[in-house]
Amino acid sequence: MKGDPAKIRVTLSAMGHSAQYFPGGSGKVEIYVTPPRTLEGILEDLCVAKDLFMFALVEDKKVGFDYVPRDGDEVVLVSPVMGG
Amino acid sequence: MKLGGYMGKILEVDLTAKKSRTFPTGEDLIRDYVGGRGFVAKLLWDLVPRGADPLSPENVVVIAPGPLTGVFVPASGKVHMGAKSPATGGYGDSNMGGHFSPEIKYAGYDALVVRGKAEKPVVLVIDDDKVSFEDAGDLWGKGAITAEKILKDRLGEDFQIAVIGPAGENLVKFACISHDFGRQAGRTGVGAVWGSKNLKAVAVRGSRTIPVAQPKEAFSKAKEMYKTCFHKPGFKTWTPYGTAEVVDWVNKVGAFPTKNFSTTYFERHNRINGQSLKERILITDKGCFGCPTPCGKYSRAQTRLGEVLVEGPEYETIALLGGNVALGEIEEVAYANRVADELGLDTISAGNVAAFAIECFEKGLLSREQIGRNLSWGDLESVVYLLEKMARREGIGDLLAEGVKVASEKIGGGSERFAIHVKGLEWSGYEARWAPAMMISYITCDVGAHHNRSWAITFDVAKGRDSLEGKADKAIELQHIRPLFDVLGLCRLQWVEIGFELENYAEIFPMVTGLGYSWEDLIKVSERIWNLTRAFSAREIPGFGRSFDYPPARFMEEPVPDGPAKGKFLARESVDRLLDDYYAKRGWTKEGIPTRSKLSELGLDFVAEELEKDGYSI
Amino acid sequence: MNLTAYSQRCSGCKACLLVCALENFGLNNPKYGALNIIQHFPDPGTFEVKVCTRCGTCKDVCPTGAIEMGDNGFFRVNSEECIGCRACVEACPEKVIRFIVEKNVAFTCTGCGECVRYCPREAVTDASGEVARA
Repeated sequence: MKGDPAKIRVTLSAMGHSAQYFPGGSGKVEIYVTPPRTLEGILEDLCVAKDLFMFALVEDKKVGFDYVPRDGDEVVLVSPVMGG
Repeated sequence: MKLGGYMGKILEVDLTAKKSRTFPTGEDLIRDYVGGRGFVAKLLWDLVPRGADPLSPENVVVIAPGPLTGVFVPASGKVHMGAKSPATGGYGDSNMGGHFSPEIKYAGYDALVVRGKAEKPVVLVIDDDKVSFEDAGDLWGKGAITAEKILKDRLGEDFQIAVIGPAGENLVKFACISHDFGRQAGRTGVGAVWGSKNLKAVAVRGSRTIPVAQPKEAFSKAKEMYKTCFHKPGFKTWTPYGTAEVVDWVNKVGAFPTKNFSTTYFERHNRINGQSLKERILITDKGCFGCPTPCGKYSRAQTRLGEVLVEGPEYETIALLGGNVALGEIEEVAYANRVADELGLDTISAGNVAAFAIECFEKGLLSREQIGRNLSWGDLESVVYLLEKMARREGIGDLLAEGVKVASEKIGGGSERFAIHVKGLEWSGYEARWAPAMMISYITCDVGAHHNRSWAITFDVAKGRDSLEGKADKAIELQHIRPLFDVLGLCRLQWVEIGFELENYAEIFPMVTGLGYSWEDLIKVSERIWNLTRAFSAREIPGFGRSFDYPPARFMEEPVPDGPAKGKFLARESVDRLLDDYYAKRGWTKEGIPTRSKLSELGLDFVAEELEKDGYSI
Repeated sequence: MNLTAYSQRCSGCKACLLVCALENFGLNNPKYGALNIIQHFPDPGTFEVKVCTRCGTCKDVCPTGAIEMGDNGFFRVNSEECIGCRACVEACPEKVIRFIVEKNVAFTCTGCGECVRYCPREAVTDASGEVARA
């Protein structure tokens, strides 16, 4: 809940074609979570399969699904690609 | 409004007579088929005589850029190469990046049509209006990369060259066409068709300007498109790895071709992934024309067999010439990649064929005497030996050069069960026993087991990998969207990789062409083409239909032995349910042939008449 | 504007050539771009980017004096005075001068900065920092 001092704000955005499977289909959600919560756990809460993404980025750096977001983190989830 | 994006004429070359002529790009052709893959499909339908042997002079080669090719639009360097396929006997095409396609436009053509057969090996040289036939006697037998370099030195660096290697000359059913030292039109054996025509290479140089219908609007929109790409979060992080980046993910979801698809998880995946490529062998990124996110990786790799320079390996090569033959070091995959590129072999099919041969040897269906040596998984020497043999059709290579379908029919002993193909085209890099949407995508793909028409495995992950619900619908949706890029002459990876929105293409298309088509109109064009290519195969392959749309028995009967997909397979009943659903949603008969009413709806009455002549009940 | 090339960043895509020709002439033709992308393949597998160094050779060889330095420090071809002899095209040591057939005029880099803005790789940059990638 916004305003709850025990919670932190995390923005998740999906990059690429898996964005369509995000809640609302917009590929972006801003949520408030009680820390510590892993990225995997947050995706579970959102009913989004973590296998929809190859990895995540925080400040342009790769992180795994065991990453524990901090307040204000903007996490980008990267969709898998296919070869040529 | 004047049309833009089109050069207004098509070049037709008769190799038998060594003559060429041009004809206007027809208004109907543009209206109904737009360009690229659409032109390939329609021109093959019109020009290939019914029942033509794919490797006879009667077959026709069509090479087509799209209306956006060579125009200032992100990644506008793609070309579509078509012919009746020697691998499947049906509709065949393959798509290639690089700089060849824009050059065709700058030379003044919307497509090239090549017919007949040259008496002796030739290079077709197109220098704007000037068309000549240069002797290729000294190039015949030379590798694709070597021959391209010789031609660059001889004709000039500003010529763009597409060339075949020994595999194409030797009519290997999965020979590719190569360009720019590492880009290939790999699939469906288009390289063998060139070989059958004694066509070693096509060299093109052009100086013309491509007209644009609304130049100011298109220029400003294109700038905005590039800028949008630059600021996508994946722009900086995806590009350095290219398609190899997906290796770990495909393993994670249990879909990685391993040891001839006997399993779907390769324990050495982290030795052949994007990070291995970047940290151990990468020299430079190598982009196709106008590409903001070049997936091309040029590498230098050292192995015990020597050092190679190679463009790649990209994902498909890592999957089929890596995991599928169990090569567990990126340097070894790069080495096999270079060998295949020089020989002019499609790495996807060649990886399948090599793996099939190793499994046959393991099971005692091919002997050491027949092969000429022992074969084993994960052995670079075995793989290189097989590639050389198949490209030159020496010894066992003569049989392997026919592809896994024909080879398994001749070898027998149950080897058909693990000949991994659909319609005669070997399976690409995504195993689908636990991915029904990907499975229906593969088995209904118009050219055979290829991923690029519909790549639906994330739909399986999102909607449930055991469920069959909605899977056919998704495959159909993607089979219309994705090939549309091949129609426009663009690369789709910006959309797929970094989430570049489809609306952008819908917006710029009318600005460039002056054709007032909405995205929905373009999707309809794509559906028309899909039905036409299916009909082409029905016209050319006696008894074509449902029975051609099944995966190998391995995928329907053998549970995956280990890894994330352990225990999974897709039973024949499930495949049948997917096919029933797919045909119904497509408006096709239960036998998988487009109905008269569907063909009429798409303006394809002339196709319906032909199919009825062939005795199809539609 | 201080145009500087970083060859090792180039992927050979030629977006710079297209945006150059479009910005300066409205022509969709990369052969009119006032940069030179040289590829060294298959061996050693590198790209080389040449840009105008403002060396002034073009001005020196022009028989009609049609080339003069503009306010921004880049040379300009006066289309009224250019006779289309292409002496500058031949003489340019970087091979970055083009002849625009449709306009019958030689074209030297104007320093417009569009290549800097639209090179996806930042292989062409402005060392003065005035212009950056879009």
